[in-house]
This record gives sequence, C-alpha cells and structure tokens, in this order.
Amino acid sequence: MTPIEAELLFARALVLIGLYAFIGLAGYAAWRELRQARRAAPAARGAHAARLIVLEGGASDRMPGTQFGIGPIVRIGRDIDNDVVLADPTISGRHALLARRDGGWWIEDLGSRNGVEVNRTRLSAGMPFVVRSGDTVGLGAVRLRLVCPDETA
Amino acid sequence: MTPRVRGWRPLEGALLAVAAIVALAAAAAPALVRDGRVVPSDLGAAAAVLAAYAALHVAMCWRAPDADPFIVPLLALFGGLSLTLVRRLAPDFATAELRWQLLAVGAVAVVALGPVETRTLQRYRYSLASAGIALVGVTLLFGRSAEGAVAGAPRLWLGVGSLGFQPSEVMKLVLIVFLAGYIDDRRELLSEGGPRIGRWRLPPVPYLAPLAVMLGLSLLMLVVQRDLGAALLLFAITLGMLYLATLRADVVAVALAAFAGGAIYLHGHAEIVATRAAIWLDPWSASQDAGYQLVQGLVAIASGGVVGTGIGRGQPGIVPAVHTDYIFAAVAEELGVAGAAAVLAVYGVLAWRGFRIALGARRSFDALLAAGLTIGLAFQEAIIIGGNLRLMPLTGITLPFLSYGGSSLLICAVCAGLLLRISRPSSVPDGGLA
Amino acid sequence: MTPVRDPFATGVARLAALVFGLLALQGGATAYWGFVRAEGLTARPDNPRRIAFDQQIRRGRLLDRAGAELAVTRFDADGIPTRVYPEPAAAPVTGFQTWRYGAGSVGGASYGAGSAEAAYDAALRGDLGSRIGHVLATRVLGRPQVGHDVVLTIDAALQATAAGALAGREGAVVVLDVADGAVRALVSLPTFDPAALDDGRTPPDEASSPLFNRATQGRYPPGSTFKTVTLAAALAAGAARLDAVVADGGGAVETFEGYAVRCANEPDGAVRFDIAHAFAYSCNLTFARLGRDVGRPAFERQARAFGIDAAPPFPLPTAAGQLSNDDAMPLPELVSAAFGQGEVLATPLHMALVAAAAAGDGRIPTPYLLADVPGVRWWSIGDERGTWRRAMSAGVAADVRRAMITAAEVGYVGTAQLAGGPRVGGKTGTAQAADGLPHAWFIGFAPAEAPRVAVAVLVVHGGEGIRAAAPIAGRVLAAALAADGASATMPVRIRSSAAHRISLLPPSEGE
Repeated sequence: MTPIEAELLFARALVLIGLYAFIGLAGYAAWRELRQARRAAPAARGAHAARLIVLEGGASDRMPGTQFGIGPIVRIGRDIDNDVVLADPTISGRHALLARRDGGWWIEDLGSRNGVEVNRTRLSAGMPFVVRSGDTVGLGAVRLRLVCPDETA
Repeated sequence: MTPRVRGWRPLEGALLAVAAIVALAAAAAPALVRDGRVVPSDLGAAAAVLAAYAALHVAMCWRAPDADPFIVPLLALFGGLSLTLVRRLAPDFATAELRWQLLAVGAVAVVALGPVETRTLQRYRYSLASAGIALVGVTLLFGRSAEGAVAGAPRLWLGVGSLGFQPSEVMKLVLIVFLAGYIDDRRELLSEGGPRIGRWRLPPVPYLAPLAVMLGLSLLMLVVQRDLGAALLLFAITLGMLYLATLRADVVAVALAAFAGGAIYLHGHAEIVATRAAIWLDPWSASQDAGYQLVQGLVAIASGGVVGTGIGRGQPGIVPAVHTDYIFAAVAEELGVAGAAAVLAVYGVLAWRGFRIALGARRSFDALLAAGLTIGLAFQEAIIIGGNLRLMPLTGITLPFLSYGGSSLLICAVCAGLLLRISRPSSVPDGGLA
Repeated sequence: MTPVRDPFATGVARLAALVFGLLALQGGATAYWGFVRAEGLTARPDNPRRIAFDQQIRRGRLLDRAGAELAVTRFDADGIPTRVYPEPAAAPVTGFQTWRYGAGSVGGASYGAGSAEAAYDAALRGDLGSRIGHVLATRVLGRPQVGHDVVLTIDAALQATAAGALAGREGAVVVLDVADGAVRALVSLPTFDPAALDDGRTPPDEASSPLFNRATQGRYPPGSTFKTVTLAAALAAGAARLDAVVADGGGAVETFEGYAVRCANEPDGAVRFDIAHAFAYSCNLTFARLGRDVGRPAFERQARAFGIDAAPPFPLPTAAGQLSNDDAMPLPELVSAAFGQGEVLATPLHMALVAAAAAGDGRIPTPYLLADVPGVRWWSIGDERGTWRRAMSAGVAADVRRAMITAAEVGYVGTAQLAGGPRVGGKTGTAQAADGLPHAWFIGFAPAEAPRVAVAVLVVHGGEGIRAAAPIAGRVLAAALAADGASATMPVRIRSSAAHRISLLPPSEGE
C-alpha cells in the first residue's frame, strides 16, 4: 500500500466511522434521556406533574383523593371519549376544556348545563378563565383541585 | 425556572468535533484522489464553515446554554458533506455553495439567538400567509425557469438579475407557521365534532377549510407551475399537522382519497404527471430519454457496494442534477450503502430531536410549530429520497441541508434555527399570565 | 387512577413512527438497489463506470504453448490501453478486444465472436481466479484490476506456417493432438487484423466475412473425405474388409434407383482392386455399393458416432453439421452421401476430429484450447478435456488408419507426403460447390506409424483436393512434427505427382 493509498483509506474510514460515531453518540444520548425520564417519571407523577385531584366526587364513582395526571389539553365531561370522564348526572357530556396555553392553565365552559366554577366563581360559557395551581374547579356536583408544582402557585 | 445565562455544552462540543472530523476527512479525500496530496486550500471551505459553526457553538454556550445540543452539530455535519459533494460535483457552484453555507450559519444564529420571538410569528401568521400566497401568485405571473434549464421547464424562480430564489421553499415555511397558529387558535374545538352524517361525525368545519384551501393551492401550483415536488410536500405537511391536531385517521383517509382522485385526474389531463408515473412504473424501457435520470441514479446507488468507492473516486456526475435532486445517489455511490444508511440515520437523529423539541415546548404554538418544522423536513427528505430510490414517482425537490440550492438551504437553516429557539426554555415568555 | 394521555404527545409519537418507518423503508430500498440489484444495474451497457473500470484493467496476455505472446495490452502515456496482437495469423483464435464497437455490448468492450478473448475473458480480466488480497486492493484501494495470463494450446509458429500455406485462399486449417485433442493451430482465411479494428481499418462487415470462423463454424460438403466414415461403417458392419477385392474399375457402372454411378477414379487400367485401394483412389462406385450394403440406419449411426450432426464441445462457438436435408434418405442420396456428395455438411473441425479418431484408437478427443492459467491453482478455468465420444472400435480405427496410409503411399493423397518428411496417412476430397470451383479437402495424420497430430485442410473453391489441399496439409504436418522435435527438419518440398489424372475427372462426381 502506498502512502497515498493509506491516507485515502484513512480519510474514507474517518468519514464513515465519524458518521457512525455521530449516530452512536446520538443514540447514547437518547438512551440516557430515556433512562432519566424513566427514573424521573415516578417522582414527576407525585411531585412535579400537573394533576387534577378529586375533592368531591358527586354521584360519580370517583373517590375523593383520586388523581388524574393530565396533559396540556384535558377534555372533561360525562361522555367516555373525554380525557377525564365524570359519570355524574350534573355533568354534561362535554362539560369543560382545561388546557395549557402561554405558560398557564385555562379552563373553558363548553356550554354545560350546570356550569363551571373556579373558586366558587361561576364562569360565562365560552370565556376561558385562568386556573392556578391549588385552585378549586367546580363542575356540577363535582369539585376538583388543579395541582401543578412547577407552576406559579 | 430561571434560565441560565452561561454554560458549557459538552455534548454539542463533542458532536461538533465528530462532525468536523467527518467534514475535513470528506474534504481531504477528493484532493488526495486528484492531486495525491492535501494542501490547506483544499480544506479551506470546509474549515470556514466549521469555524462558523464553532463560533455559533460558543455563542450558544453564552446565550442559550439550555438549547438542544444536537441541532448545531447536525447542521455542521450536513454542511460539511454538502460542501464537499457540491464542490466536486458542480465545481461551478463551489463559491456560491460556500457563500450559502456561511449565510445559513448566520440565519441559524439570527433565528435562534436573535430578538424575534416565535410569538411574533404567531401574531403575524395571517400576514405571513397572505404574503406567501402573493409570492406564489407573483411567481406564477413573472417567474422564470432555473438558469440553463430547457425551454418549458417549470418556472419556479423569482428574482432580479443573478439573485433568485424559489418561492415554493418560502411557502413551505409560511405554511407551517400559518398552520401552527391556525390550529393553536382553534385548539378548544378539539373536543367538538363537526356536522353529523348518520353515525359518522365530520371533522370540525374549521379544520376542513384550511385543508381545502391548501389542497386547492397545492393543485394550483402543481397544474400551473408543474412543481410536483413542492405541491406534494405542502399537501403532506398540511395533512400531517391536521392529523396532529385532530388525531383522526378518517380525516387523513378522506384527504388521501381526495389526493388520489386529483392524482388520477391529473394523470389523464397533465402530461407531466402521466410521464412521471410512467417512468416510475417502468424506467427501464425509457432508460435513454425520460427515464435516464432515474436509471442512472439507481446505477449510481448500485455502484457503491458496502462502503462505496470513496469520496472523489466515484462517478456520480453521470447522473443529471446530481448536485441537487440526486445528491443522495452520489452519497450512496461514494460512501456505499453503509454511508447512505448512516446519512438516513442522521436524518433520523434530526427528526428525533425535532419531535423531542416539540414535546418539550412550553407553548402550544411552539409545540405545533416544532412538530410542523420537523415533519416538513422529514417529508421533504422522504419525498426526494423516495423518488431517488424509486419508492415513489420522482419529483424534483432538494434534499434538506445536503443539496445545492440557496433558497432551500436558507429556509432549512431557518427551520433549524426555529427548532433551536423553541428548544430554549429560557425563551419562554411569561405572556402576562402566571 | 386513570392516567390521561396527552393527545399532542400521541400525535407526535405517531408521526415520529411514520417518519422513522419511512427512513427504515429508504434504508431497505438503498440496500435493495445497492446489493440485490447491484450486479444487473452496474452491468448495464449504459453505465459508463464500467468502461472506465475496464480501461484500467491490466488485462492478462494470451500466450501460445511455448509462451510466445499472442495478445498483450499496452498502456500509452495517458494510461489508455491498447490491445496488441504480435501474431496476426492467430486472429481466428485470439479474436479481438476493442472499445470501438462496444456500444451495445457489456461494459463497452467488445470481443470477436468465437475467440479466446471472449471465451477466457473472466480470467483475462481477473474477475475469476484472483486472490482475496487482490480483490480487496481492487475494490477498496481502487487499484487497477490485474488479470491472468492465459496459455493456449496454439503453437504460434505452426499457426503462422499454416496460415502462410493457405495465404491468398479462402479456407481453414485445423491441427489437433491425436492423444488429447489439444488444438495446435486453427486457421481461417480471410481473417482480420485484430489490432486494426480499433482504428476502423477493417470494417467487420466486409464482403469476405473476415470475422467468420470457417474452421469451427463453416459448414461445407466434405467430399470424398467422408469416405472415411463410410469405410468405418462398412468395416464395423462387416460389409467389407480392407483386402476384399472388388471389380468396380474399367468403366463399370451401376444404377441405384435410376442414379448411375461410375468408379470415376480407378487406378490406371485396373479393373479389380481391394477396398483399401478403392479408398486410396477414391472409387465412387465401391463406396456407393458399401453405402447400400451397410444400409441407411447403420450408415447414419456411424455418421452420428463421428458427431457430424452435433456441435463439438469447444470454448469457441462451433456449428453442427448435417447428414441430410430431410429425414427420408432415399437410396440415391444414401449412396451419394456414402461416397461424399449428397447433402452432408461438416466443419473443418469435425473432419479434423474424424482424422484424429482414425489416427488414434477410434475415440474422438474433446478439442480444447486452454493449456494453463499460471498462478491460478485453486480455481479451474480449464476447458473440458477427455473423450468426446467413441466413433469406432480400435480395430476398425486401425483398418481405417491403414487405408489412409495406403492412400498416402499409392493413392492420390501422395501430394501430402513430403520428400524426407514424416510418413503421413490421409484422404483428399473435392466437394462440388454450387457456385464455382469445388472445395478442396484433406484430412490426415502423421507420423503414419504412430500418429501424433491430425489435420484437416479446407480450401474453399480451391479445386481439387490433391492439388489445393493436400500439399498444404503436408507442410503443416511436417511443421507440427518438427515443432515436436520428433521429425528431422527437412526442406519443405512438395513431391510432384505424375500419377494422377484428376484433370480428366468430371467435376460433378468428385474424385
């Protein structure tokens, strides 16, 4: 093998090995990220993740203290395709929408029969309202508390 | 969370170092083949681009230490490879390619670290959309073909003098921004159904409207400009983002059915569509004329073997438009199936980071925007490489970050910059809430 | 507790699955085109890489049995290869390798039809038989591929002698080793200059068909040389013995279903002679009767045993001969075939193999051209060797051989016998041709006492076999044995024969 051949072979090997090193490094980072997420998951469920805690279940079978881990968009109502299903006669099929937006939580009455209250304040239908961590949300006979430790309390 | 102001970004640094090794080795190889030695000027262009990304890395450490550590090295890796491939395959464009690459670094820096927040984009979504549509309209009226293109080639270019750009590239970005804003505005409607027809509930009308508009616009571009690739990409992005918003397979099915109907109609009424389909189904019988590019591209891919001929030693230049539409064939020939698979995997890394950024976004507009940008880049990559590999009819669009093409590279850089910006926790505005 | 899924995360996960699935599909397609379909795609004639790669190949040399170069590739200062052919007479064997006519063939290189360049291309290119280190150096380092030298059984000097003896005529000469079928010379004229093809001096479609290999593919009526086959059939069937006396001379005529046959070639004044002399003087009437006595099935069986209607196995393309145009072979056709006319067609290679069978023990050796590929031990590229078929028993072969020796001693074949040269055995032929002078034939062997080489000579429209073909055979046989060192090298001189009366023969009936 001549020196030029060796150099060329070296350059080619570097390109391919480098590409795979890049992918390998990325894969390692992905694996670490996954592992961290898995470790953090139980803690997050308990302490950091946003959740709704049932204070009063009404006629639904939700026991007080039941927690719902929630994502950024939460549909609440009696119909089973809601994210949080509350089988209480005072709850409408599509009762309310709780959603994260612009760094805060907003709740909107979707035109329910018995309305939505935040800290005992009745909302107008179609007018979203800010909910803060620790606030009590009333839907018919059911009362829930929003807890999100990350957010401003 | 209080944003940190400064910090080391070791992962980004390490990835950047690997990318630099790849780029410099790739730049040295053709010089070794050609001259039997490497002189500093052979590596100058690659070094300049790498230096620019290194500077960006330092700036990120200073200004955005929590931003995603993968995007900058990914850009450096793609940029280095693109520079080497284009310099060799299209030496006439070598200088322009270096200029565009450096401009791209600047674009990433400005978008990622500059003063403009994504909120601003959100605010001006309708203006942007109007401007985009106007741009396409102007191109329809005054557009010109690419320089050196045959008579009757699609008129996709707009510009004055030697400066030109492809509005369809801009349209892609405008569409993603618009859709992210539009969907975010109507997020509450997620729980609502549209009109019922028997047991089947139509998607909410507000979701159907933009779909129809975008379908119409895509078909218009397709018919008038004959820019099949861009039309397909815009349609795919629209569909992907609508699915993200609704999670409804029936919406996708209806849209695909409409698309198939349109495609079948155009197959009978637009010569370019029929030609592309015929070449796709049987390139071999037209291997000397209409199917020449596709067949030669496949031959180039077949010529690489496992590890390829080595950069500088293959002959991908035989394939027409190898430096733009067919750069993947050049990669496959000179880096082999192993190298091509690695490049695909690198696109996979990009997609993974893009989706991670979308999931980690603090604002829903940002999340939708990041997801949209990611699927835009991923679909663009899939459409052109799928065309190269005869997985689908070939439509001429660029391979993101690798192909030569100023408009394409700049827009892709802006996309990457936006992803970087969204990945910065410190950039989340309080927005007057909380 | 009901964990609630985030719909956005669900959507992103599904889109990510789509994107990664598409990437996997692309990876699979890349592997498909890059591995599964690679061979067919890269071999496409419109793949210019193939030409570029081929032009770098250090193509192996074609060598004669003694190591003389028959074809060698030289590179000019720019690295452009040219194939040089130092022995132009070997063109029918070497064929040519050129870039000029390559538009439609694999990789741009083109090879003369029926040539060693084509037959041993894989070894010459180095595609086969290369060591793994070599292959890696070619594939990974991009070094030019190095091919193997191929040693042929051809004797360049003999080839030149044979071509020189035939010079100016159209025809063919085939020289075989009796023992194993090695082809020592194979001449077809007119031929071409393989080196001139690249610059276009010899258009391949010239009217004289220079690229047509008459020795292996040219089908000609064998004339009286076919009496060898009839004789073998008669001996094998017990229909004749060499010393059986017949009374066919003196103007005797017999009519076979209305087809009158005369002896035409009887020795001066002789009326009665034995079968050996009938063969030596090529008496048509005797052989017509032998054909009739043997009968059609046995005659055909014997002709097939000689492989006349088959294409002999050979690295160069060969043609099959024929016995008859139709299945029904009426008596007139049978008897005329028996003395060498009729519709029988054979190639010079066929007739050389007939001579080789008679010269040996009755078996026809498989002709071969490849002597060796030096340096390639673990890989066998060699031609098929051995016995192609058994044409006759050793006893019958010995009788046929004796008849052929008699022919050389007393008969018309004497013109093949060089003064002071080896004793030969053989048979001439003068085959009617529809469009001009008859084709002149000779088949034979030497030395007579222990034959080592067999020969077939054809001069197309050459006239009488005695005059046109036999002398050529004599020179060729002498040269072949001289090359062996087994025969004293004597000045080559053709013995003038005063004994024949060929000029009196009606051309329509052969010798």
